[in-house]
Amino acid sequence: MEDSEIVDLYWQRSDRAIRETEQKYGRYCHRIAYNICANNEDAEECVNDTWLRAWNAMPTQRPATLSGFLGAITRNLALDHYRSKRSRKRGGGEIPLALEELGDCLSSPSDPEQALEARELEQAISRFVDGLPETEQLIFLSRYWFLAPVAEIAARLGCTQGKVKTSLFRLRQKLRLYLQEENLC
Amino acid sequence: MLNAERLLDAMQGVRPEKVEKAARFLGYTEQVQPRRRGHRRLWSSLLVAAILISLFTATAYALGLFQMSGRRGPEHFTAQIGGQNVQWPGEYIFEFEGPEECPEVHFQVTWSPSADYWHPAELAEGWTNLAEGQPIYNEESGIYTASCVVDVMYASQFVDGGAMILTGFQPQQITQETWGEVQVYKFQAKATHAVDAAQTQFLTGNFVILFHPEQGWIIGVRGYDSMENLAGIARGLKVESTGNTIRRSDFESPYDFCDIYMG
Repeated sequence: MEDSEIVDLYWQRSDRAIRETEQKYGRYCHRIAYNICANNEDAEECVNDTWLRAWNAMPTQRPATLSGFLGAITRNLALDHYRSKRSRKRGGGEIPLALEELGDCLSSPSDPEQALEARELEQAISRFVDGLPETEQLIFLSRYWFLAPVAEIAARLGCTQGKVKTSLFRLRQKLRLYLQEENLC
Repeated sequence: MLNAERLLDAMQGVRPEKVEKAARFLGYTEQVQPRRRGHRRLWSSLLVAAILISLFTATAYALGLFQMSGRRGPEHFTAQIGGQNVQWPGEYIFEFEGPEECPEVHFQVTWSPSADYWHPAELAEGWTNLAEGQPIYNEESGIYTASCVVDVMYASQFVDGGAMILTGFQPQQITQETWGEVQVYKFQAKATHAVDAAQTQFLTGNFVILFHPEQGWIIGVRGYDSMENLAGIARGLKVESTGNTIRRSDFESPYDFCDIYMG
């Protein structure tokens, strides 16, 4: 079923909306959640919550890209889930690794003059991604949007994990420089 | 909240169509057939390294079925990867002529600079198509670099308009030797990308490229280890056919690279 038809079902408040969404995007959302939660049960919980959030959001929203809309919801839910778990001294998945990698791209937020509004940073990241060559975009987003394991990205590219790590290293360098140029860190 | 977490959250600002493309690339939103040859790589301009190249100009080798020639770029190549069109800049281009199929081979490492040289060691034991050395720490740049990478490519991938592309490296003088039926090219290549934020440190890698003009295989032995060690590894390689045939259609892209990466 086309995305627009699924969105119409939500607007019609039809139960089929969730069934069709689950059928088309269940695996997709589960992958996003699993990369973050590293646990099937938690991932499933996030996915189910995603359907609920989508149901509550449509109407009034009519997302142009349903996969992006659902993926963003799942990702937020899974990140919240991760933070909640971490606060209980648990956690896992790709998040700690990705956080460690990204850790040196921003300076300490302790200086209020350098503290960022979330929206400014979002816009900067978006511009940064837009300015990357296509393959770099794919690698960057695979790792830091989808939290995909390096091995998975390497398999998709048909290269070694070392090559992906190299690419990510360079991308983080680029990002750090970009954020510095933008006075965002 | 941690700085890095702010960045992770800020990724939400990325335009949905970009996210969707990445999802397709990962195969999350649709069934994407995995590449038949998992180790085949199609790599981007951000890679630290590349393949042997063409300081020797437009030389054709008519010794066997396959011919190899090199020329200077810059040039851009467009290929599809994961359903996406991707542009590859090439500073130097290596091209091939010959049949669209050739025998598949694998190799065995019989000489190593040290006992615990390979990582993981199991990968380099027995017959394989990829061997990687333990990363070495570069004091000057403060990063780990690849000591050695050995893998196989095939001229059949590149015939009829394809190419092995050098990106991000400037080879110095290339020397050519013949080891039995194998043509051997050795050179140093200086990275065109700095490894530090100040853009002052450029690494130099060593390359030993083996090309069998009759069988069509190419084995790259390259890394930041010494030329002496890499040549020793290359000379010790045993190569044999797997009994399978490699066809041009096996590859998603007619372009490929032989790179050195940082560990």
